[in-house]
Amino acid sequence: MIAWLLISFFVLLFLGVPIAMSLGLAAMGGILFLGGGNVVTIAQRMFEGMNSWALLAIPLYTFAGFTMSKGGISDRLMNFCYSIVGHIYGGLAHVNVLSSMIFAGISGSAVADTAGVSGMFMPTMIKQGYSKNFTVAVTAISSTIGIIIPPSIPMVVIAGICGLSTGKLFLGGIVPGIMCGVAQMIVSYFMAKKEGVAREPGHFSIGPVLKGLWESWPALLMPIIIVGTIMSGIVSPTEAGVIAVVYGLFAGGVIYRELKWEDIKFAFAETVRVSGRIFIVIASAKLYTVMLTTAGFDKWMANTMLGFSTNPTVILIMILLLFFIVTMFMESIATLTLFMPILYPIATSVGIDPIVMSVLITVVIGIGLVTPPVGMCIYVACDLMDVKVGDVLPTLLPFIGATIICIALMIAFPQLITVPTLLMKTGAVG
Amino acid sequence: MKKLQNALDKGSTVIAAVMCAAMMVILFANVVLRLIPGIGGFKWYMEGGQYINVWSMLIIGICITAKGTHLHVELVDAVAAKNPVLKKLHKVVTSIFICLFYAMVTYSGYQLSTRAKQAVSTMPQFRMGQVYVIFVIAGAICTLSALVDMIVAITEKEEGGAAK
Repeated sequence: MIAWLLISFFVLLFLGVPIAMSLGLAAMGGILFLGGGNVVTIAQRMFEGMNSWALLAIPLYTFAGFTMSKGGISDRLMNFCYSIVGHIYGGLAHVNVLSSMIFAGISGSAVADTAGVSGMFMPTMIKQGYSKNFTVAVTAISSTIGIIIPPSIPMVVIAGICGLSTGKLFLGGIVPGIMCGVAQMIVSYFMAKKEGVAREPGHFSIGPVLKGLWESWPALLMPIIIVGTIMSGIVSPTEAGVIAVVYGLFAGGVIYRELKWEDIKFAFAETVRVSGRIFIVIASAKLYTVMLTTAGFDKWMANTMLGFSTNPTVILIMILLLFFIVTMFMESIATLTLFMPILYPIATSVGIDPIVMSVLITVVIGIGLVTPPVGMCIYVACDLMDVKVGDVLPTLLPFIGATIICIALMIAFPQLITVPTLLMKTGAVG
Repeated sequence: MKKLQNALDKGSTVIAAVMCAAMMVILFANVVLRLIPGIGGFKWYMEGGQYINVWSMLIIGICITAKGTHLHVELVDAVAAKNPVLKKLHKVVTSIFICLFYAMVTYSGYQLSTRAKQAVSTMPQFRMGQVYVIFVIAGAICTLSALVDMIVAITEKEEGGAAK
């Protein structure tokens, strides 16, 4: 049964059959031909996979991100970031990274950032003499911060699958997200030096920063509202998502007055399309994972991993390596839905902190978003600038190296992840 | 056929978006009402929101299938793009698998909704058979959508080049 499930899934996947259908058909084959259960379980398990309170946050944060990016935030955010880091050598690359870090506090999607705020900034970088490869690399890698700094769609999925607190995961992602951003800025500095791009005119002064702050405060308030309401225990992370939706509409429509009815219709249409693609994968992956568990794959996996070592750090590194390799070839949500139910019990059995593991997995998934053949962010960025993924890869490697150093630091000092979670008060569900 | 494809796309998007908006309204109204002393929120907001979301996500599957925009590995696409015959053959093969998948979902959904006729959800007093019936409706239309997408892709060039 295990062999059937694995082989049929990978054959269908590499035939180009959609991920959800590859997972679903492999599991259905097991049910129909190998006595893996009743046909009723197909719809039942798929419903179970989708019917989750935590997963409701996916359309909510996606919609909030769309309304904010359409509601006049992009230019103002860029000006604000420019006033802070524009004077440093490689200024525009730093602006790209910093704006991604702030946009990460609004949208939970890395691809939304690549296609939105960061993507819009790429022509400016090219115009100022930055190479296409460097521009695409820094845009793609900085977008991955979007899934580390709260809100984060992969963290919502992990919380939904493992029954963890979404709020704690969100808070655990703050320091790692900032660390990755700073590391990317350091790499950008040296790469800009290497490329010999012209330094931006002017120097740091408080006037432009205050002006930028005044113009972009409604956007900057969004992450504070999300994290603040979750930390205080007033609302659950899912409910914080709906507050973000209402605030996004208010900021774009009333404060900035740039959000039109057409934009709202576009945001709704794109939200259901983006979320729908994710939910059908989650539904099928739930069915597939149940079949894998029925076939005993989880026990085989546990025996193999624990037979190698029972040291929590070694097991954690093995889990991260597994995600690193798999996310190169598979879409991140599908990977999470498939492997988290299997790996989570193994990790907790050896004493790994589930919050630390989940945040680290999210960072690793970020690397998967910029590595071919399935790296969505790198494909979107390359597509926007009309360059080949293969040409950008060498420029991308130092950034990936910097992220790996950040991961190593987080493994060595898990307090970087756990300390902010202590600030959360328990209140609303989740 | 192209018109049918667009109608499936637009129709399902509108329905799913309205349901998504309804879910947002319920959740926000609940948060506001809960904070007002003496009133409290809806008891059914959690299950109600989840069910509407499941319906919305299954309905938008029609649009995703009709437009062929499911998440997939693009290796074969890149290889097949150079050869029109291979590209169409690839589309036929993947569409058959998508049809098979949704046909199974439809059949399983029918079995489930028939068996769960008497089961009632806890907070909103829905019969679960009625909740599960979305698998039958969306599954059947998704099967049709996959066929429509396949026919549009195959006949595209014969109709005079690129899609309009």
